[in-house]
Amino acid sequence: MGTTRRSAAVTPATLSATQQLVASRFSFGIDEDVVADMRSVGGWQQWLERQMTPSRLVDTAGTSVASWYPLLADAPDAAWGRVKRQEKSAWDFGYDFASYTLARKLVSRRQVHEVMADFWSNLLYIPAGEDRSFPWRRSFDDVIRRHALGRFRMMLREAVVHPAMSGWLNNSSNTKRGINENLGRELLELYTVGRPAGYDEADVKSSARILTGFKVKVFDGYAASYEPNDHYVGDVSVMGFKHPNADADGRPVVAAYLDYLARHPATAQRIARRLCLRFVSDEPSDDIVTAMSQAYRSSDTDIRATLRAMVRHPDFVASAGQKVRTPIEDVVNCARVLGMRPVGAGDDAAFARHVVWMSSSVGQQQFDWPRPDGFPETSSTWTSPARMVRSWNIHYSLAGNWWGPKEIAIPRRVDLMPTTWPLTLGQLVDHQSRMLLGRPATATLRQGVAGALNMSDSRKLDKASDVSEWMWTLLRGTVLNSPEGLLR
Amino acid sequence: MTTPRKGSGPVDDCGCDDYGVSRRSLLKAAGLAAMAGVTTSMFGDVLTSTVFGATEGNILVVVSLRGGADGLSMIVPHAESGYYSARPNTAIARDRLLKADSTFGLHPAFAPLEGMWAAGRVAGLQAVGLPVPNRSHFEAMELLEDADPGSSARIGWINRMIAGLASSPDVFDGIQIGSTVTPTSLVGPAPSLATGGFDDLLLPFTEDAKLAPQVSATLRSQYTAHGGPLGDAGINALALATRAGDVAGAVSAGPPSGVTYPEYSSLGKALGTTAGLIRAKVGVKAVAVDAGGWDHHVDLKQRVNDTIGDLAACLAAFFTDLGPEAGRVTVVTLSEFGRRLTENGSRGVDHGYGNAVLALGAGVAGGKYYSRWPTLGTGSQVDGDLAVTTDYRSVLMEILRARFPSLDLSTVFPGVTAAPLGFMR
Repeated sequence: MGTTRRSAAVTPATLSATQQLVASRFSFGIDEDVVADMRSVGGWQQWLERQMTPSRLVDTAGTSVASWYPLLADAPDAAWGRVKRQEKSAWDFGYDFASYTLARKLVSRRQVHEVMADFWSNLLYIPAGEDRSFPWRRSFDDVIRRHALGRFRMMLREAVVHPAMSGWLNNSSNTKRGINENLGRELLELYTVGRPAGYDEADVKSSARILTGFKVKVFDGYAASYEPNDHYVGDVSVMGFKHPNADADGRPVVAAYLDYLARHPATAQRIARRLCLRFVSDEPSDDIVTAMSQAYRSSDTDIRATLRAMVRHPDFVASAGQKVRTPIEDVVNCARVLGMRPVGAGDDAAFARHVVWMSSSVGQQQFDWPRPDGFPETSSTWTSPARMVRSWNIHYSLAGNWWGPKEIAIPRRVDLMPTTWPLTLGQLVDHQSRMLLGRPATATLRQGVAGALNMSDSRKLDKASDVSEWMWTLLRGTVLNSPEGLLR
Repeated sequence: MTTPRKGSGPVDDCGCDDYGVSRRSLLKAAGLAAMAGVTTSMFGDVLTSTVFGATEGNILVVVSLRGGADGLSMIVPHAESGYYSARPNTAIARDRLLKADSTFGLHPAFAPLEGMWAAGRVAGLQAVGLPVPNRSHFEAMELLEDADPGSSARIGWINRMIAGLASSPDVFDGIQIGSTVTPTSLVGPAPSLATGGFDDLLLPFTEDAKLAPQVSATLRSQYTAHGGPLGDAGINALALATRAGDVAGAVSAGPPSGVTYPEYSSLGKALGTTAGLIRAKVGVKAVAVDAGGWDHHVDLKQRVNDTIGDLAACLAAFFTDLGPEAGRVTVVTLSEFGRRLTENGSRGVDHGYGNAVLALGAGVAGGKYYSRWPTLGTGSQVDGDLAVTTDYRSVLMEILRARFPSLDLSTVFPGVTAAPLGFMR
């Protein structure tokens, strides 16, 4: 219907500062869809509300991604069969799953859902391709996604007893005949109340006893079942949760225990604080954490209510410029704002696979953190000189499409440029700053890009074809390399 | 552009065991070594102030056994009936132990280090650990590596060590090789670096003599104008990249012929890079290396055999690799906690307390065991676990005192009085 692309203008319109902040924190990169959606719904509150009910957003691109990874559709016994026959390895499943995850971040219109799925996947963290959990990893991801904007209590109920978790943290061999404390401990420390809550070793043992009975036939088909004969029967007590636990089927006790932990004030504090680390700053005030934990508790662990309390708090808007993109966020953001989109993953050189190694080269590989505590959420972890060097290099690689990926959709250069010429170099830098960073170019940036190109920023460019491929790459890479390019 | 290499088979250890550098990523993506990421932290303009420092000084290599190593499997207290009764499926029989004395013996998988042990270059320490039990991986690692419970400042002990050895420490004084996320031990005001290698820290267009300075000047002006932690990181990155070029050129690509690290071992790769760095004489003083895979909640017998075997083979290769430089290098292994005495329902062991430590190389009075052995008697146990009779900081102080005599240990480990075991010359 002939709508004009935003980039056709010499000075493309940008979002308001608050819209930019909200979209930047709650997306993997502000592309044309995000700008258009934000505009069409009339403001950031409306945008966030709409995004927080992802099922109402048609997402053809995001939905199609699953079909690129047929391996991930395998039932657990089929996946194990492939490994046993040495057709595939657990690593292959993990690699596909990492690529699948990044592809969804890249193309999905449901960006808030993607961001929250990433957040919870990093809290209830299970690596990709891990031997004891890999056949169930995609199924676990579906659980996280289903509850990512729902109730934490319900997510916890399904995630903790999921076969992937049972395999990963050894609950699969935790029985009344021999307790394995691994999951019982991490449930308290990482997923709910946290260490400051002050549980002791007796609590840990009780926690593990409650979780007995969830069997997975690890390294043998990976069938999952509940075995009442394995369940510890008898009184249990964890941090004020007490239960006679008299039945062989302990699942109702597990559900009550997980509800108790999810609703615990210490869990509310811990979840609120971790959300702040992701979305506000490395050192959130007690005030915002308290406001969020109150919202969490009064809404019975509702994630959307907790997020609303966060964005409404004055600390949120005041936190602009305080969060640095992780290497994964960085690479995905650059690809999105540059207009690069994967369209498949069949080839080893597919763009959806290259992004796995691109983020790895900056220092973070999707689902490759080896420990159950997830990647650090603090920006300070990712604000180091060496990371800067690596990001600067990958930004030019992306701007120039130098890895030469297959299965990529990438706009023609002329379709990214203004339609009105002549322009000065400074105007073109401003144009790209608006498109890639969502803000006008500062004088420092205009002169900086001009300096990198060894030109004056008043250099006149008569037509689009006066801008060489090389010049365009250098210009865009240098814009992305500005400090603002690393902030979200 | 290299394309990712496909994996060959699911031979990796249980991922839950990998609390350090992921073996998986190395194992399966060996072709991508050049893409390994890096992080650094550094403050101020110290980077520009030094070229190569003291090139012949002593070096400490700290090998972190992530996940909580089972010290009772490493240095087996074979004279204790309690050990055998608590571990009906996983205890190591007396007659399989290496270098046994009347109390202890080494796990048979330590065979690659037998020669060094016989030559008096390896000492085994037992019942070492944190002063107070902590069975959380993450808290215990944090406490172990911060090592200053009296201070709320998050500064690691290696960072304090580096700061104590030079008025203006260089970024290559204290390095983590392997994982890209800076460990707590290195965090602090002295500059530090966490990297897989050195040839991937160069600025864009380094090879273009005309363009590189232009791009560099652009970055400098923008990051200077921006200020704050991100601005500082950018400015320091420019300096780091300049220095990295020198180091990358000096560190040889691989070990000399005749030195073989275990295939697909991330520890082996990191130690190989460490040896190259030391041989290049660029002035490193402390290196932190992760050896992941020690969280043996299941199947202790097989898994600890594999992890000890990897550790022993890597350390043996490392000292061979060092050649004449070995006279400057002391290695110590540390782990956040030991395991429970009693095996669990999965023929594994859960999180415990007292642990074993190995000290190897320069200055070590090796070939024997050192311990104020508390015994495994029920009256001596702490919550069912081996007690700690030697604070791990005392072990580190004993090493530092011998190898870095100019260091003021009261700044590295404030408030700790060393109780030496006598394992250093």
